[in-house]
Amino acid sequence: MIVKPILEKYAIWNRARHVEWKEMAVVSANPGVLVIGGGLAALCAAISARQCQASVAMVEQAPRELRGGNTRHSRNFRICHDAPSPLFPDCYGEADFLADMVRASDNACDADLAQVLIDRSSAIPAWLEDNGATFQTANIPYSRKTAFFLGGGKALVNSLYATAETLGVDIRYETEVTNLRLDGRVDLVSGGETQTVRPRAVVACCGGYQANREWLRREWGDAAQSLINRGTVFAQGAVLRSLLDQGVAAVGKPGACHLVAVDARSPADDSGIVTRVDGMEFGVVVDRDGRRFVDETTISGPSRYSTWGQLVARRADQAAVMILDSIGIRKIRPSVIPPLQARSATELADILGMPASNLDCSMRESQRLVNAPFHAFPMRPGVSFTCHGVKVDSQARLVMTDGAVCENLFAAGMIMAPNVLGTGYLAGAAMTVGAVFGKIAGEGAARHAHD
Amino acid sequence: MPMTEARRIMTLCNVCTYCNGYCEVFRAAERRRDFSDADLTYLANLCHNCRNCRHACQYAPPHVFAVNVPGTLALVRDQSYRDYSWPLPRRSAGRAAAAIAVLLIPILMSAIPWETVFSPHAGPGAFYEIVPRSAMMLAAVLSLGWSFLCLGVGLIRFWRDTGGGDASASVPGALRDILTLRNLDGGGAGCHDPDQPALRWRRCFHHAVFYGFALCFASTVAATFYHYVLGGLAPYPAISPPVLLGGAGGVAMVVGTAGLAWIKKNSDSVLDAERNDYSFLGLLFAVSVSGLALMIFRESAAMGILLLVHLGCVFGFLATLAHGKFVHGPFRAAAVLRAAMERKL
Repeated sequence: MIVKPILEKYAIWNRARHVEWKEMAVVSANPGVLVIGGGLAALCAAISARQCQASVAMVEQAPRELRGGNTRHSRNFRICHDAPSPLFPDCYGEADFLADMVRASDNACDADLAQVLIDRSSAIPAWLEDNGATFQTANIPYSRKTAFFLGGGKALVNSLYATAETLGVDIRYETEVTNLRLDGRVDLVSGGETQTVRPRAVVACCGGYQANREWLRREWGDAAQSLINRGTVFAQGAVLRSLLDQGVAAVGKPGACHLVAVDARSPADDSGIVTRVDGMEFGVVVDRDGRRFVDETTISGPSRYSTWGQLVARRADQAAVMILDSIGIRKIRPSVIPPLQARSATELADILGMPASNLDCSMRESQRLVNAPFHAFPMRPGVSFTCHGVKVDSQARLVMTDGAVCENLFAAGMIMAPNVLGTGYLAGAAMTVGAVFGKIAGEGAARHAHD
Repeated sequence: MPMTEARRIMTLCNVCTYCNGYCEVFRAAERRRDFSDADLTYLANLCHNCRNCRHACQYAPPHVFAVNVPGTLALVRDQSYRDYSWPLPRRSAGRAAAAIAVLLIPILMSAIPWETVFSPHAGPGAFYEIVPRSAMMLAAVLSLGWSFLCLGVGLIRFWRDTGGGDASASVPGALRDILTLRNLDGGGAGCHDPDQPALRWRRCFHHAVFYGFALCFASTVAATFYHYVLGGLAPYPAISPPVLLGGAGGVAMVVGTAGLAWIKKNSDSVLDAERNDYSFLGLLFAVSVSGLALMIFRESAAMGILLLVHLGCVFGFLATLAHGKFVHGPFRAAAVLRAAMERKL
């Protein structure tokens, strides 16, 4: 369905795996637990369910080489701890963590779930280490609140996949779920073949819909075409859609996205962290018409990325340009995509297609652009994730609009993160949500499968 | 071409920085803003090709950014071996060594009466009844001297081009990194390939070759001591330092070279610039196997021919040191030394 055109982009890989499709098409018809997804939440759910003796199948839409959802692009996660350890200095207590959550979610976080998240977070690093993960303890920036995965999220995912395989989780790549029904039946597509399976319990860990341009268009209108998806192309939201359509309660806000200003020339999907634009305080930022819209030096701190993301998204055509002079450019790391260069404001206006008078005026006004040549970084809003998901209870079970709880259906990760994060962002919290609720959901699903 | 690609990739790595826990390459890269050819040459030689960063890379193919740090640095490293090869162009030293070994044996045999070669010799001085000690010494001094001269010139140029400087204060730190192969430890996670569990053995096999080589060297030093100070003539008794050291070193080298060749056979072609070049491993294997065989059969009639084969392999190895894979040792040691120096700044 959706997966096919995406796979065609990776033709080399496609050919190699094509032969195996036939035999791989059929997932065991009745696994105890079926986990949908392939990121941290899915892996934690699959591993914990398997450790509770359930038979577990896991369906990941991505090919093996691109497995892991947006965990692939992550680096660290937020952990409550009462004492310093090799993973992090100092302490990060419950109250501190909760205050951060309440502030980040703008009071929208579910108090019970937040408490569960914080309480259970402290045991997660040791549990992940037991399951093959390695944390980085040297050469990391000071971080009181977060622990770093050695090598980043993809290394974490690799080690957890290896553990899941050893434990006997039946992992199927390139397998897409098109429909998850409330009675637990799941429609799958793999290698062009469709199949319906009836697991005893299902855990949905398949994220938001930030890669689904159609869906974004419904909420953003034409502006959706300016959005760059920073993460996996497989975040299509088919399962989320099917659950909401069947009356599962929604959390967060339709169309709400975590945004970051990224280079407008980034690939449409999956460029992760490296095309993020930074260093605005060293230059000027102008809109499509060459006009400044904010004092660049007032936006600072770790939240500057998302502040700029929102600001850029609100401009005409969702476009803005950061300009640095030859001194400013030395203050930032060389970018992955080289900037456009010009000797003068007029030449730059010409390259950018802006009114020269406006641009010249903006550049003079700030007094930070003195020395030619000038370097311009065209920007667009980059979507990290959507903030619209399904409601769950503290055991990660789906909750219907009428308040009824689905005993056999669970959700973990970004598909339910708005329960605790609302439409906000808290660095490293998404990975914690994935690990904590993934583990809870896996255990709950295994219990249900045994009953 | 590899330089341009390495520059593109290391620029991207410096924005991402997720791999900085793995090894010195990424930390050394972070100390730089731009990458000159010399910087990339240095980083390429600092890379131990453990491949952890390749498997951890969120931008690895089929991602459109197609980042492959170890594979690209392997190409740059290969280029640097060629650039610093003096005075001869770098080529398959293994073939040259084989040629020397193969030529040396008939030349020696034509100079030595056949009945001398094929009759049993025993007791002190048995080896020298086949090949005079003075001839052995001359060949060793000439081949080793030549190689040290060539390596020295290349190494001095490499050091100067990658920044020069007085590194004496950083030698202890660098020595620790070299002796423990710290940079092949993947930041504590070990050096392994998720799809090929065998790669976790690379560090062990490399250590086996490295320390096996060191033991063989120690055996030679001990034998020299016996010869000049104690006045004894080779071959020495089975329970004597030269034989014990050489025996242990030989076994370690056989195991290590075979293991590394096995890993190489299974390695990913995009990560290994010299995937099909087994000459260095083959040569070390031949040196150690022929040495062990000589030790075991030294009282039989086969001793003469085994001695000639072993000497041929050893001199072939010594004479081609500077133009083969062996250069990775000194060049990497120099890069590790520079990294230790930079850490102090």
